Amino acid sequence: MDKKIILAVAGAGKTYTLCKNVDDSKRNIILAFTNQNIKNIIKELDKNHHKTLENTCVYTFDSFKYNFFIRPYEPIIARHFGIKTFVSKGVSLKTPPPKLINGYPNPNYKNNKLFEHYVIGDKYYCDNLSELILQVKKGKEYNLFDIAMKNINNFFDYIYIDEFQDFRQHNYELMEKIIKKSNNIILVGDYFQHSVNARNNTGKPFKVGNTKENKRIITYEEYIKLLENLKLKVDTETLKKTRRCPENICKFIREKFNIEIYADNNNKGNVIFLENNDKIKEIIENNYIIKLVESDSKIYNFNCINWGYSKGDTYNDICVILTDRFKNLKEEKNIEYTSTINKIYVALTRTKGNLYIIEKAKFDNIKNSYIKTNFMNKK
Amino acid sequence: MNYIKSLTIEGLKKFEHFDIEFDKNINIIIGENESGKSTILEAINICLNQLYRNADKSIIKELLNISNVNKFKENPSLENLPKIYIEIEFNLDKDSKNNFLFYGMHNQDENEKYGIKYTCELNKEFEQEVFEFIKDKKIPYEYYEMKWTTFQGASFNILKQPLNYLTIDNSITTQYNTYNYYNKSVFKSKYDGNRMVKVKNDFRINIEDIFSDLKLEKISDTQQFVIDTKKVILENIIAILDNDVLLENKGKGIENLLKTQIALDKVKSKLDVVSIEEPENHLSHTNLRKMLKNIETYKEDKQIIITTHSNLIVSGLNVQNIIWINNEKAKRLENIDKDIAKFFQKSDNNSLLQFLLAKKVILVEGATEYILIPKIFKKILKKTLEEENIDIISCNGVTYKNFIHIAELMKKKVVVITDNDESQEKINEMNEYNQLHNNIKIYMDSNMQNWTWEVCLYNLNASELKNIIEIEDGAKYSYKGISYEDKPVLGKMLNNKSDTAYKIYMSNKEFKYPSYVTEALEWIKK
Repeated sequence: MDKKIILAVAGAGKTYTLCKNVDDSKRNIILAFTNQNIKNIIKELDKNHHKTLENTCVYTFDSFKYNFFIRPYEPIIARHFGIKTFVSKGVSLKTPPPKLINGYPNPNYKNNKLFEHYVIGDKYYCDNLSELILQVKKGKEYNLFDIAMKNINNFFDYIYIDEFQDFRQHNYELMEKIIKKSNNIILVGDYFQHSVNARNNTGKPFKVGNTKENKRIITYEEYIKLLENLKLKVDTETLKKTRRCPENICKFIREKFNIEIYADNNNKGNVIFLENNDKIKEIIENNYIIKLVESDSKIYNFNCINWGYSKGDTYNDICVILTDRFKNLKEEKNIEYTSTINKIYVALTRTKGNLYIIEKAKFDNIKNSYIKTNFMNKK
Repeated sequence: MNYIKSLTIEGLKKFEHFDIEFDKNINIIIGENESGKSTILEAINICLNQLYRNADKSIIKELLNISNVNKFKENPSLENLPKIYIEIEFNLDKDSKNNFLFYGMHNQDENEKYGIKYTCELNKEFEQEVFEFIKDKKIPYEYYEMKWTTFQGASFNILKQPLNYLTIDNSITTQYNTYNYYNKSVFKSKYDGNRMVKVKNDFRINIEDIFSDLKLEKISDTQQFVIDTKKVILENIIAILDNDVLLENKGKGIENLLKTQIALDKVKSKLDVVSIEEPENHLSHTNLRKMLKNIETYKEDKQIIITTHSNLIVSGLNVQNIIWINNEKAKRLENIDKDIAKFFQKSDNNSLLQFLLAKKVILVEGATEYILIPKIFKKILKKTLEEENIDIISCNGVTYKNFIHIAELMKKKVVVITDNDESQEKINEMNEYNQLHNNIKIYMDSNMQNWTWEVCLYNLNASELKNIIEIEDGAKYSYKGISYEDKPVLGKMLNNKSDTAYKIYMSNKEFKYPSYVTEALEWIKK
């Protein structure tokens, strides 16, 4: 049995390493969270293997759940919920009705014992697929997860998982079971990039505690412990150096955030805080330099992207526009760790050249002239 | 090994409901004309090759089962609209490519297995719109849809095949189509999807290049000739060259032989399943033997499904591989005793196929009985054997025991008319057998002195026989060491059995027949 996780720093080449390790003489399935991840993986596989792979397939986690855990076994699912037959027509991206609306119970909410909790029309709620898989079982009679997992182990020798830190809550619980029951599984992930997406930022495994007072995020060390408890070999060596960011940028991140990131490249670049308005305008208007804003990228008429969405991207030069939270970034050191750090960490590590930084106050001065006309009134 | 495990057909052509299981190696499907042999192969084709996918909807009319159509017409309603359902189950190797796409519970008995299902029925979206049709007892073919779904629940993409399948149909004679299909199939199974797409693409680009290299003058400033690449599709124009001669130019017989050879060779063709419709067509006896040898050689590593009317194939490929189609039921003869199967395989010129397909059978020892019994039957029962659907088969040295073993398994009505050979033991055996069996009866004379057919006849008709059997002066007859000087007519009859039978057959005289024979014939007619 070969079960391990490689923990990486930003730009260390997680996807690259994952794809390079794929041995096409084995039957492999590669899973990642988003369609963007999948595109990157397919690109890397092509680059690394110079031929179309015969035995390797790539699925998003959602499509994997649907096609390997749910769809083939719909008669079991129907029986579980006391329904005569159910033949689905895919997965719906609609958000399931929340339990509470503004703190009050939502009359449209169906609890997780009911079929309607998982299904809308002839489709499954994408968000509840994992919960469904974990729910469909009855004593020794049947257990959907076990049935499907046994077959998956027959179909594939190796399971590869990219961006493991993105698996949260029910997805994480399902992933835990997959890790335990699979033959061979190789995962890559980056602790410091969790909670960066717009979706899936709550719950297991990163957030612990259930009262306001003891709620907190688990530390890097605790995270490693957690992985080891899943019987995974934890590799923190292979991907500890970035192939993207120049050493000057790495040093800046180490000093500010205490994140151990080192350069393994000859890229040249500096951290440059933009001070005067003319320079700021010049960079903002330079379409070859992408601007990374915390949110609302769509309202600006310059080339920009939200911090969270930039995950996985690489740019020649970048310009990060700070938020209030980091107004003292220039002077501060050893900033206390919170999950917001992950977002800015992702943003800062997109460059393989210069990192321009604009402080919030300075951006606010000129911001209005860059808002698209159709967003003027709303903002 | 990848192979087809079973097939279920509902509402297709001949079949209202039909199930068949296949052996992983050789399957020989036999049956009367119109029993549905070809429909079985067609059903496989519909599932795996998505046959009729692009056909005009009018084809559905030909596919629907007649009694389903009649049921609808008697009682026209939405629920009674005829439909077709086909389900095909595979055995797929653990490491066979894309196997997981076919695995799941979307099948009739909702069990986990590999397979594909096909439905042809009214598209649910049009249920409201076909009211008028139903009122007029018309089937709204235009609103029907065909769907191919894997047991996983996903729609079946023909580019991702569960196994490599090729069908060789030797019964179709329109050259262009069969060739095209055959060449295409070999082409597709030989190269995998990616390789094929690349080759096709390269071919298209090269053709365009070649044409532009011709540097034809433009038609006008804005117009020029180009190649319409839609019309040059590689797999439509490829052919197979065998020893520098195109396969289609080799003559029907050789062409069939070669086609089968190419298909059967696993290493070269990569096929898992080959179905051959009537391989005997256009083949001489010798070439058919060659083909059988081929099939024997390759049977271990692929599944072969054959429909046939050839006795040589039926007995030559081991009776245990036979699937007999009758009354919408498939009966496998796999339980036949190994030694008996071998026996038929070795004894070349037997009537096994006729025996298998017959409704009722009279088994006789040799030519004499074979010639005379139809005449006797007509005389005493006033009907011909054909009218009563009774076949008469001469065992010709194959002992009848081999046949009745098969008849027992097939629950076929058989009567054996044989000699007691002066053996009390044989007579006892007969009595014992007849007590235990209702469908099969053995008849012989129970008087040991009437030890063979000619003796029985002679004892009843000595004076009539003297008139038609000529004895030359001074001729002395003996048979098996016994002299027949006192009964020269019997002596001659024993020594010239079929000649005597022929003379009796041609004679207009009235003869008496042994009572065991008339009893036997009366029993089989019942």
